[in-house]
Amino acid sequence: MSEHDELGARLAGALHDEADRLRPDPALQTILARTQQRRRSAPAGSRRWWPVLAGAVSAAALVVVALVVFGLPHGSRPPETASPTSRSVTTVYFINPGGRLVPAPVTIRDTGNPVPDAVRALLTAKPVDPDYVNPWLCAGMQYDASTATTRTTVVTVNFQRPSRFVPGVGCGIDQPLVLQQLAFTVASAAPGATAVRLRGLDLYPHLPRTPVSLQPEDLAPIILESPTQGQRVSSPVRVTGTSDTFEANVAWRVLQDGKVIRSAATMGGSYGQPKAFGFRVRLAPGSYTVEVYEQSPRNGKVINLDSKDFTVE
Amino acid sequence: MTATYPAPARVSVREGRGGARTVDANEAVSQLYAAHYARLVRLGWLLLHDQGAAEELVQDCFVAMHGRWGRLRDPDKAVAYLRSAVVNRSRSALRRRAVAARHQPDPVRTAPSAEDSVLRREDSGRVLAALDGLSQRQREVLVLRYYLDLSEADIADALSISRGAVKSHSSRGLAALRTSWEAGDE
Repeated sequence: MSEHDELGARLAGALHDEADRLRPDPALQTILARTQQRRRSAPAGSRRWWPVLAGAVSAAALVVVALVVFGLPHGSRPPETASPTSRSVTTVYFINPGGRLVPAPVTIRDTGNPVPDAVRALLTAKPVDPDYVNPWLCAGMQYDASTATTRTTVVTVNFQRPSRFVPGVGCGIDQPLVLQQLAFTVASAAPGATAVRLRGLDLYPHLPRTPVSLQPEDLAPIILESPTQGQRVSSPVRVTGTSDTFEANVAWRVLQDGKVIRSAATMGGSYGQPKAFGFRVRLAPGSYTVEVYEQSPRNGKVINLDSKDFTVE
Repeated sequence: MTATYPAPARVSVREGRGGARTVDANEAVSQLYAAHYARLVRLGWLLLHDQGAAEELVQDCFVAMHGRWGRLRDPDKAVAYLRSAVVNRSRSALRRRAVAARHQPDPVRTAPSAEDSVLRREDSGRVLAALDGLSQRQREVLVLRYYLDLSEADIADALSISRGAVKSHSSRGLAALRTSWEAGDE
């Protein structure tokens, strides 16, 4: 490595170390609202079509209208086609101890209507992984499963007769993260969705009138996908997941009765560029815990840990 | 039991130029926001050292990009535009800050805060301190090169300077950093 390369590597590491700790506040709705304000104040000649919409709807509603008008990657969901008694697996996002979102499979009664099924699962699913929480269980929500619609990139979810959802009560999770949990769960059932509009949901503080956009910053940097919590597997055990960490480093260790019996490192994605990671480990029959984590580039501490208990048969 | 996890948050902007589906300005802003907003704020922060100002500045750039979407019509061009706009607006903000500081001298501001002092004790904090000692252009070139990992051509495009100037600023900036680090390591 030349002297310049070495200097460059040190500089790159330091810049990422410092800057990537920054977590900007969500701002998409602010930006879109400002673009609408800008249009309103634009000269008349540059907004010939604007009067058609201007007096009718708010800036937030315009966002939805514009998305409906300009793109149709997928239309409204078809009516129920599956047997009401059939079962399938949907993805529900839970909240980990670090206050980040993590997806997990949940078995549901399949009505053939993916978005309502996913929302119903969110409102009722207790996470299998004891490290995760589901604040929606604290809310006692009721949900009309027949009225979710998907248009372009915005999914509208209608709640019916909800009880008031007060953040800080029960699970004690802040409202923005709870809404992101719902948005990601809905988006997992509606590929291409980037925002979720909520109707009939009584929240305190009040629900934003604009669609809730997905915030990638709220996802856990390390998501361990396999094995799942409590799974029975055979050796060699294939451990897989998705990560975006400093310099793509992902450390792992396998524990038995609290003692580390294997440990190594692998590569996933670097900050902002999530990629799959995976490794195999040979283990004798027994019960184990696998922990996957990042070592802080600042002080070497374990951060962003995800873990799963499993049994080798 | 396995499930296929979606990647809904990792919204990607289409790479292809030819045949790419036309997207409207709102959709373009949404996609570019998901893919690049945080990184651009971090770029702004590296140049300004002020998160609030960096966020506001990047939001301004997105609003401006929305207004120009009719001419850009291409996510790649839009990203280049945003990068360039962030650097240019950061430079303007620093200039305004420097003028304001000249007219309102505030000796307290020149002393580092307790939090700042802790940060600067760290090695990476020292790097940022050393970067502060470089010229504006050198700092911009090095941040674009080593944080955004841009090529010389892309840096030249973002800063509206020649590739030779990029090389020169980069080389001199690194040399100044080396001197500063060696002094600090002693």
